[in-house]
Parts: sequence; C-alpha cells; structure tokens
Amino acid sequence: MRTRLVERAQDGDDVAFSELVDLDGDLCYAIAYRILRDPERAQDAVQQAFLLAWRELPRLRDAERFGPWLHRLLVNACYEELRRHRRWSTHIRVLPVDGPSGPDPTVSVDDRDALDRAFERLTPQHRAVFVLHHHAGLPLAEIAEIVGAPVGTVKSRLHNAIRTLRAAIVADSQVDSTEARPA
Amino acid sequence: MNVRRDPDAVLAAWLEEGPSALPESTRRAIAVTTRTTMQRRHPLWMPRGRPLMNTYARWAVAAIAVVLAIGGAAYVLAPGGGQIGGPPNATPSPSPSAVASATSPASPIPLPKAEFVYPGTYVPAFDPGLTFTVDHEVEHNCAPNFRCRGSIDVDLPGWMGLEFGQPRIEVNIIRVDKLNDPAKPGSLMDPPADLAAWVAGTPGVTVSSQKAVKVGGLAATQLDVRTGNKDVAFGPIPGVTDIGFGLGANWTARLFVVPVDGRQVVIILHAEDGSLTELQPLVDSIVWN
Repeated sequence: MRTRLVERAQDGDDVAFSELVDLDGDLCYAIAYRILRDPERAQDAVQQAFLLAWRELPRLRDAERFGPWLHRLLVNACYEELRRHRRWSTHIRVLPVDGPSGPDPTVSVDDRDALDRAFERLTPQHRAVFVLHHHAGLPLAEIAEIVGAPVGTVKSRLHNAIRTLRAAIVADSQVDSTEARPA
Repeated sequence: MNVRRDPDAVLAAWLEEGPSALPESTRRAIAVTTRTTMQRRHPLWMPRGRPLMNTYARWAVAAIAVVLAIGGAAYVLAPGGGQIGGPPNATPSPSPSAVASATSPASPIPLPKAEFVYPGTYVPAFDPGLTFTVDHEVEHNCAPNFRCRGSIDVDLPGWMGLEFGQPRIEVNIIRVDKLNDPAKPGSLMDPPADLAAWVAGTPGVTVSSQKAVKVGGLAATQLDVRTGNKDVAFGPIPGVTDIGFGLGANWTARLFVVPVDGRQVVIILHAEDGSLTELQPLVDSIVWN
C-alpha cells in the first residue's frame, strides 16, 4: 500500500503524499524531536524533510526505499537545524514536554539534567545514530544507509553515544551518593 | 539514602520522554507547501540542448514546458494570489531579496554539500573560482508557517545553481566551453569572443535591454532577454551529459556574459514570477578568485 502511495505521489498526486505524511509524520517528528530536543525545531525539520521529499520524489528510483530515503532527508534536516541553532543561539535548556509521553518518574530531575547536558555535547551524527537505533528501533544496516556511513562507523558512534550518556547518569549517581553520605 | 539504579533503564525512559505525534499545524503547513510546490523532475529551465537530442525528446520537452507555463499561469492567476489552500496574507510585505553585499565581513566557506544555503559567503566548486554572498534568508512568497531556505541545485565546476522561495527565483552560473554550431547541426564550436552578441543573435531570443556592466570587477554584458514559444539551446554544460545550456520557452531572464581569464561565464537569473531584481545583489557580491 505504501509503495503504491509513493508511486502515486511520484506522479504528482498530492493527496497520496498527504497520506504518506499521515503514515510517517509521527515517527519522523518523534525522531526529529529526540535528535534536536526542541519541539519547534523538530517541526521545522520534519516540514523541511517532507517538502524536499515531495520535490525530489520523482527522482527516487525505487519506491520501496521511500522510508530510508525519507529518514535520510529528515536526519539531514536535523543536522541543518543543529548547525543553525549552534550558530544563532546560546545554551538554552529545553524542558521536557508534558503530554502522553511526558516526564517519566523513572528519570529524576538530576538525571534528566545530566542527560540533557551530555546529549547536548554529542555530535549531530552521534545523536542521530543513537535515536534511530534506540528510539526508532532501526537496524544498524539501515541506519548506515540513512546516515551515509559504513556499519562499522555506525556501531562506533552508537557505542560512544551510549557510553557518554551512561557516564552522565553514573556520575550523577555518585554525586547523589556523596551528598547522601552522613558526615 | 542511595538507591541503585539501572542506567540503561533511566536512559531508555529519558529517551521516550517527549512528544510523538506531529502537530496538526505542521501537517497543514506541509499540505500547503506540497500543493504550492512543483515537483522537480529535471531542471526544466534548461532544454536538453545536446546536438544528439532526437525529435521526440524535443517535442516532449516542449510539451512539458507548455504544461508548466500553463500551470504557472494558473497558479499566479489563482484567487488568493496563488496561495492555494488559504487566504492571501492580510498585510503583504515586500519580499526581502537574496541580498548580498560584497562588503560582507563573513569569511567565505565552501558551499555546503547539503541541499540548503543560508546567509553567508560561499565558495562553490565553480571553475573559474568565485565567492558570492547571501546575507539573509529569502522569504519569497513562502507558504504560511514555512521558513524559506535557498536550495543548492547544482555545485559543479561547470555549473552552479541555486534557487530560493516560492514561486522559484533562481541563479545559475555556467561556464561555456562549447556551443552548438548553427552552421553544422550536430557539431560543437568554440565560443566566439563576443559571446553576448552571439547569444543575442540566436534565433528565438529577443533582447529587451543590453548594457555594459561589471561583475566582480570584470567587464560584462547584461542582457535582458525573452524567448518565444520554443526552447532555445545554446550548447552543452561542461561535465554534464544530460542537460544543456539554454533557455526555456516563454522565459524572461537576465543574463550576464563575463569573460574570466579567457573563459566565458554566463550568469542567468530567472524567476517564475519575473522578480529578476531580487537576485541582483547576489550577482553584485560575486568576487572572482
């Protein structure tokens, strides 16, 4: 069904393309938000990715590859947003958004703070690999195709990202532990 | 009290925080931009002007150009000023141009490999070398809620192409190494010393204005031209096999013909809505290296 929608959209059918937006928009937004940690910039990135997808769709040779291709456009749009964000803004802390997936009680305020800071230090490439694998659940081979890097590089980025984020939590725990120790 | 926690569980929970549903406003904005954005099947402004092009291909290109022209006219003449799917802006403001300044303090950077170009001074892959400047984001009739960006269509040693806004305004810079030889159909020839005169004299091209100008400090000829109801093919683009250098049917364009170190360079400004002057500052910012 999706392939047929892609083929119709390639022929200029904007209704078919809207259906693709309905099908893929939520996942794209979830990915973009988690890479960018900013809802507005995530919306911009998703919008940009879909606009580019619409414009370039006739050039997509294999309609069945629409998913990875769209994710590649999305990740590139996120890189652009991060590049602009770094150039034009200073360190603005982004608070978690309440809602269906609002703050999880498993995550303490300190954890969240430490993770946000650690994630901010990751490169866009590390962020993308981490989110695509651990949030979107994509296999490494597909992520390699999306980010345009060898699988080995993807593995390495993933390992480094997780190590950095785990270290942030552990360091935060040690601070808690020290503070909790009786004098 | 110290409670032992599983870092991976904390990490997983943190990653799941946040929104997962695309806001309706963004869906609507995507729908509007989709309806008002033409899909790119080929850079159709350039006819496939290769000498080996067959008759059927020429007819196909011409037919597509006519369809696009009719579609474009319908778009421009549509109620709401072409803002399909919504009312026109209540307070239309003059479109900011892709203003560039030769005196910009920005340090030149290579033209990004990504698809977009933002304000800055850039060094494209073009040969002969040059820099150009875009000093702020263009908002050329963008769809509501959509922040326009410049798109990098092509960045090659023989051809650089950028486009902005909606309807599109675009600048293309082409090095002319060879031209179609009108005396020997199917053959190529070296460009004449006075390429501007040659272009102006090509059948199908009507020059409405011609003047001597400077581009990046070099003497150049500016031609404001109009084409008839047929594409006009001038010749090949260096390093490009499937697209030629030329003008589409029923086009209004501004050409700058600039000899640079013994090579001929043509800068073409084209706008679907005729806003040629918007990209003039970008031309004025060009510095030859």
